[in-house]
Amino acid sequence: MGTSKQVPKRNWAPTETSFRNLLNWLDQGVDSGGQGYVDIRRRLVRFFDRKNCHAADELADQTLNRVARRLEEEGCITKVVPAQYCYIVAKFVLLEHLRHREQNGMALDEVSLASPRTRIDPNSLPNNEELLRSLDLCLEKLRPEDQKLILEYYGGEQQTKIARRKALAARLGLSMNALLIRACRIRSKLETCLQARGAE
Amino acid sequence: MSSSEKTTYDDALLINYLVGSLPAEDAERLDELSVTDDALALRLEALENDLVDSWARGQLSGEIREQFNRTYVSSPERINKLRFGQALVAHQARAATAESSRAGGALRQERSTSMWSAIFTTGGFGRWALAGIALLALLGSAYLAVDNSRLRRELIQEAAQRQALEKKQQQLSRDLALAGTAKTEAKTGVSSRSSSDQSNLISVLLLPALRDATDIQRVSIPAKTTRVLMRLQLEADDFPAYRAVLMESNSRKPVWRSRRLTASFEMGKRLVHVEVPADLLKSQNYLMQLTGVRAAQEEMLGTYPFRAIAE
Repeated sequence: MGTSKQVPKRNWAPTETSFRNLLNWLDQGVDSGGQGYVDIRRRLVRFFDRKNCHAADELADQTLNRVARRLEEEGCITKVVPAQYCYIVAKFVLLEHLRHREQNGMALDEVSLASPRTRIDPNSLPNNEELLRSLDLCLEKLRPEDQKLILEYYGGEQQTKIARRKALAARLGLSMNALLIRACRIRSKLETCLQARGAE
Repeated sequence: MSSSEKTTYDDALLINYLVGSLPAEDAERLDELSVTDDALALRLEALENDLVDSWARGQLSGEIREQFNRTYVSSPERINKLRFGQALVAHQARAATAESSRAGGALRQERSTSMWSAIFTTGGFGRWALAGIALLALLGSAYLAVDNSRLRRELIQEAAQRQALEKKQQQLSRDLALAGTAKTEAKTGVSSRSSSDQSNLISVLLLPALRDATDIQRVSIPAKTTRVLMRLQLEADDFPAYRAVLMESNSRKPVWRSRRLTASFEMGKRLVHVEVPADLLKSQNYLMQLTGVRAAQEEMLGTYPFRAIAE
């Protein structure tokens, strides 16, 4: 504990113990097998992304590292619920990031992303063979039932999607909400897989 | 967050948040809830996924499409989502093509089975000759399979291109039809038949009542009309949702109420679309009363008077 205070906040990285403490604290006594962490991290990434921070992943990790560090320092955080606390920290991380960006000008990656070359043409067509092959490989990594669920949930005619999803939920014996949660999680997993394949 | 507060966020508002067109104050509240509220975070994620898929299918329209194209496509995280949407749509197109070719394949399989049985039931030279033919056919099939795969890829690309072109064409036709209708209505002030394929629907642009207005707008309803689409022009779109009530002008007796409605942006105008069953309208004067809905509060915005003329 004493040594961690000497390390600058930005460079502090959680130890195995502090990371486990963070997972337990996020779960609030109900073991989610790490899903609680995955969910809050995803929400933080989306939050930073909507604020047009191009390093949204890094900022989400930075936020959770700070929370873990605070947990290590304080032993526990009880005044606010975990998601609320994470949001408060995320706002500070965002403010620091914006200040830092202002002081140093736009970061290099942000300059390149702002250029028209890196923007997707909204009218571009879904004919990218490479992308399709990557999706096939990512789908293969899923359990067959998840594979079937995701393709059925997001497939078919858009006009009939509500009725189709209801029928799917009934067939799987799930509530619509449970089906939605499952579909979103599988999709997120696939998006991450596709992104990783793109970066290879 | 209380449950009543949760109900204030309808899909249209959340979509506006996702495409970055909400005022900062509203967006800030949703920023917080997007992290702290499980249900809202899930709803946002689901809406965003469907929004991305609609974009990939070329099904976004109007202001949302413009805003989406302007703001959504500039961050790596969102670009990744868009690429996934594109891949998913391409995957579906390929599955549809495979499904249609499977039907043809079943027929070919049947023919091939009868050829093999012919070889093994024929004797001597005939058997070898048939075996040679079968081998050639097999090599030919292998070549065709490879070629077929290439053709299928090209077909998917062509289908996607055709689909996108059709979407563009449809959008253009809609815009042109709307421009024409708006122009005619602006000139005459009377209703016009919709140029869409729904011949039993008529469309009319209604303007809010002015204090010094003396003329009342006439809406002629041909005999076979089943629905009347009333497009109420707004001065400002300040509410996430709207409700309309149709009243008899003299008695102020309500004859019909709409469900929750949202405004759209067409040809430079803010409009709320209200579809009224035509059989409710007799030849008399009516008032369409429009109310803005925010949270549990409703605010009367104005009335749109018109005279229905049943033909």
